[in-house]
Amino acid sequence: MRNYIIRRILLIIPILIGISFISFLLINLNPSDPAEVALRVNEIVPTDEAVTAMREELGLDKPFFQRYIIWLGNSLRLDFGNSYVNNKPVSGEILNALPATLYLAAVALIMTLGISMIAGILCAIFEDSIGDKITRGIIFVATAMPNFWVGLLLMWLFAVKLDLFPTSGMRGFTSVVLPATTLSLSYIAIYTRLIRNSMIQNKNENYILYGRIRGLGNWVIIKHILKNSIQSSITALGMSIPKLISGTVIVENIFAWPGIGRLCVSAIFNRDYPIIQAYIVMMATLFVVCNLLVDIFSAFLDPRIRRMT
Amino acid sequence: MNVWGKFKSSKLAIGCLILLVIIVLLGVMAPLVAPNDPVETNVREKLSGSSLQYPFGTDQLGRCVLSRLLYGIRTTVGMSILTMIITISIGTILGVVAGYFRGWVDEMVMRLCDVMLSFPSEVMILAIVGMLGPGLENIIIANIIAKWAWYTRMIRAIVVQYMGKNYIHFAKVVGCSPLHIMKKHLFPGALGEIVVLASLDTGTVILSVSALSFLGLGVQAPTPEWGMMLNEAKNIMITHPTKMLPPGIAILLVVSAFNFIGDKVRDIMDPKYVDRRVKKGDFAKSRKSISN
Repeated sequence: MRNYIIRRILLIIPILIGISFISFLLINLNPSDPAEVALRVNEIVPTDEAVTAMREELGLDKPFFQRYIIWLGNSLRLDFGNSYVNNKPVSGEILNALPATLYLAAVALIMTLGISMIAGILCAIFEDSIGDKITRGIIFVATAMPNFWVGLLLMWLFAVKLDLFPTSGMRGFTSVVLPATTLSLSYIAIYTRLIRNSMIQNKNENYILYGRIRGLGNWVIIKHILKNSIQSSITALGMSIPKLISGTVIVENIFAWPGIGRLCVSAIFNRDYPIIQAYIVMMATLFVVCNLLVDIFSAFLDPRIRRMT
Repeated sequence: MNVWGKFKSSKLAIGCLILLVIIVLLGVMAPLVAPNDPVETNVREKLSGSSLQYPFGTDQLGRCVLSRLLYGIRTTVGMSILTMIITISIGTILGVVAGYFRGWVDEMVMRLCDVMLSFPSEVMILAIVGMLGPGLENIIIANIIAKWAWYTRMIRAIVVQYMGKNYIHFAKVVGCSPLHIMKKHLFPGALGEIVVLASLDTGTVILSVSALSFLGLGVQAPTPEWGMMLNEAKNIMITHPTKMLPPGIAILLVVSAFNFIGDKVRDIMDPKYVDRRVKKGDFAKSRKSISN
């Protein structure tokens, strides 16, 4: 087990280097000169001297690889430079916005877990009942609904018409309900289906037949099925945590939630490259780390995976 | 494998296919069927309800909603299909080359894919749009860059399977050129599976294109696009909530039709899925749960 973990951690180092290189490359491939953009967003006329001065200030006059190494070193110390717009450190801006996003994602995750578990288990127990059919219909529609539309409809119904929740912003607990519901809806659909199908599959296994012959009660049997079918869903859920966090971009923009997704979109409009770059690096790192944790967790549960790789 | 025969037996799948064909035709013939000019504003008639001249009413600038929906097919659905075609083409070329030559070429392409795939595709799309700036071409480029690696890997896996077949070995032994083998023997065999891959994911691309336009990062006004129409409807939500319905329902219909066809084709193409259930007994039940 220890060897497996060490090997996996060593394997992500080249991936992380690749990620940092791509993030750096993207900024340097873009058609407009960062120095000129930095001047323009501050409403300074980009004369030749001003551009040259700015290039020196941003370190753009050095060769490409030297800049990459300097940038990589700074990034490791969480120093992503200053925002072009307000000249504040990017890491500070991101750390300010991060808690709101994590809060939203955590509530959405809890909702996904709770609702999809209950719905999935009930659907599997009462397979082909009316309730199961209705749930399956809802699941199918929910996966095809664009979540920005869901968000608008929820906002109209619960915030405008019924006035139960605030339409936007982050004030108190009630304000998180609508964004979190919007964010979790498609995940609830996916996991309800996953849990339902894997429980139904387990229902036909021999060990359940044996349990029934032994005369075990219904509840004990359901517990057995659940234990065996929940594992794959938990692994899949771990994989979707970074997706959940990156998926907040749209939801945050609809509900004016002060998180990193909104920060990133406004940075795109302002051409504030350091913030975009930091967002990319952070998200990709999060993705890699979450995958690593999920892999280690599944290896911990299932010794076969350890031997395989 | 008689995919079409099995596909035909599902009425709902055929219904979805017909719906998509109709929608694509409506998009192609938009200038003929649209009752009004989609970008012509008429402030005096703004936010009007359903009438003979404007069947779905007008938006906040007095533009005909139905005409905008019809022209929107060209941008939303048309651009998504175009994106898919380009992505699949890149994936096919790289996947076939990597799967055929193996060795260092394969190794290089696959490692590149690994790095690309370590980015969540949503973040990658946002990153590229962020660098290139908002615009329709840019979100297409972003979608292609974010997705090609996945297709390359899938298509390579398909090609590797075919490489072990005897007729490919035979073609090599009799001295066919690599290009000839790829074109005449490898590609036609793998084509069916590649088309399936494409049909699985078009719905996702439509969602991604319209979501970016909704955020204002994609199509720029006044081009009609469903995501952007929703964004415009958002601003008048309190006074005219019904304006959110037409573009939302349009996206919902098209995406669920694509998803349903994709699911269906995957079930047909993947005999493992059916066989495993059949072995467990309970045949009738498993058929039913698959067809749903």
